[in-house]
Amino acid sequence: MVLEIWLYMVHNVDLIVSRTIEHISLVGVAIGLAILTGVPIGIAITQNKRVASVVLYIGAIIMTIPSIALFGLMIPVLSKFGQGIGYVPAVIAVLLYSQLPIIRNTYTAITNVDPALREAARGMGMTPLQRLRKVEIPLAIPVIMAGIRSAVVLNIGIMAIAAYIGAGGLGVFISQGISQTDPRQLVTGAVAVSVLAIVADYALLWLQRRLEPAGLKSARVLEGAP
Amino acid sequence: MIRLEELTKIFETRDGRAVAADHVSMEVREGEICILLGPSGCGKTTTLKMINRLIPPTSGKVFINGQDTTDYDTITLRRGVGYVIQQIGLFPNMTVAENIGVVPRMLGWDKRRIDRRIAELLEMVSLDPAVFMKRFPKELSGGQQQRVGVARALAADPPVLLMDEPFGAIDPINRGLIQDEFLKMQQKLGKTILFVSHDIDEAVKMGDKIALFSEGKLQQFDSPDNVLAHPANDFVADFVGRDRTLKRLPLTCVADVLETGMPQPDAGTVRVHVTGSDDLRTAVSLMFAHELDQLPCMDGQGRYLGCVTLAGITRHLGQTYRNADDRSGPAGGTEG
Repeated sequence: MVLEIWLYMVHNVDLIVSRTIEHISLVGVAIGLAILTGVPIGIAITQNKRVASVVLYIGAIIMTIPSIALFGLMIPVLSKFGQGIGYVPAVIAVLLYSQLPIIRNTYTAITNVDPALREAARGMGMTPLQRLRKVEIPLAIPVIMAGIRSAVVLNIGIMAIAAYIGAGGLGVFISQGISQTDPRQLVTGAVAVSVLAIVADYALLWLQRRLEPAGLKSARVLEGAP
Repeated sequence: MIRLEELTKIFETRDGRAVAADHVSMEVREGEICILLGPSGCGKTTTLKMINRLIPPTSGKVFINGQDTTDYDTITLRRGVGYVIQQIGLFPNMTVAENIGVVPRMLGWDKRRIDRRIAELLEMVSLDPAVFMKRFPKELSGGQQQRVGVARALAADPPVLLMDEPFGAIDPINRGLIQDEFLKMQQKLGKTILFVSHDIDEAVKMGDKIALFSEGKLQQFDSPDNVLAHPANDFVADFVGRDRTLKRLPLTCVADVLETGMPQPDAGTVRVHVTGSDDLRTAVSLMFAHELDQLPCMDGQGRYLGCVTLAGITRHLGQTYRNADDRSGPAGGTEG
């Protein structure tokens, strides 16, 4: 059995590679968009506690929707634009699921900046934007990166389910494996998704360390480190 | 020069209005250090922070060098006023040099001028630029960090410096050291400084003027010697303590009470001496330790200049009380 699976993998290397690339690009585009929306939202809600709790609550509710149900819900809505299945709903779903970890970590990191630093920055005549750019965001980077990492790892798994709405990616091995009762494809898909998640996690951890301001390095906090 | 005019801050709290600063008016002359002194919650920090509008005043005005500060926008005002806080607040993501360069960079100085200024300031606060420029705040001791904090506040050479318990978090030995260094620096710089403290000894040591606050009101604004010798009311008398005359000792140096006519005591019996720049606290301490009522004063070359005597010190310290008695007539007088 193991040998059969192994042989299947070897014979289908090209397919695995192309579906992996497809998977990465789906998650990559979705996370990219999620960063572009989530980080500004996370920063914006630091201005108002009540808005923050509402936004974080909505983010948490979205997380509780099972992904297969979310795909189902989006079909009638997006059909109106001719995008009921495939690439677009897959990206939107991952975008939504990424919001909570990214917004929450950004919000927490910015609000946790030492009030003394904020006061010093204010007292020196920094504008709110300068404070954000020169002090608050650099100090928040490690925690924001940790949020992005957990979003990526989480959504590599969720994206596998998007194969059911025709988005492609490594989930195709799994869905076909199930419908054709072919354990070779099923295991290949599952292993590939896991390996991709682990590799992505380490790659982002490396990136997180690179982006961390040098002055903070001695006090490194490894949120979500494997 | 800083002038506060009827500066008032009322906080609206859930339990009603809280008056944090109540019509505070005072004027600090150019080049003077004024200590805002008082117990916690007395309004001294609120008053300080209204000057750079970290706390917006409810009413009243602040003038810096005769200019009403409401004429400036908040950002411009803050960039022109140095600010040092107890927690120091160095940005951990920036090197020492970058921290000091923050305000000059915002003011658009060119890079060479900033670099020159950073090196100059580090030397001024006794930190070797070659060693410390590239370090991060984490790699400095508390005292070194606050030296950088002071250098950062001085970076753009502001005429006015606001300091909120700047040396409060530093251990006593280093605090004394950094206070001395700061005073030496101030002699050269001549900044107009407002300095919040809750420590009467620090106030006496550092201040040209003391502004004593209680419950939002300015209770007394005077020189340290006058605050100690002539407390304006019971609160001030209580705050400076019953041993307040002893606290006046460090304010006078030996040279001011030297009796030059006295013959030199026999060097065999009196082995200790003072110099003209020693303060009376040192002199009295030596007298107590050696059971003496007079001490010879020598200059740097060991030449005898005269004697400082316990009677002379008593006369000197008592003078201000006698004068007050004369002014207020025999029925008045200061309570002891």
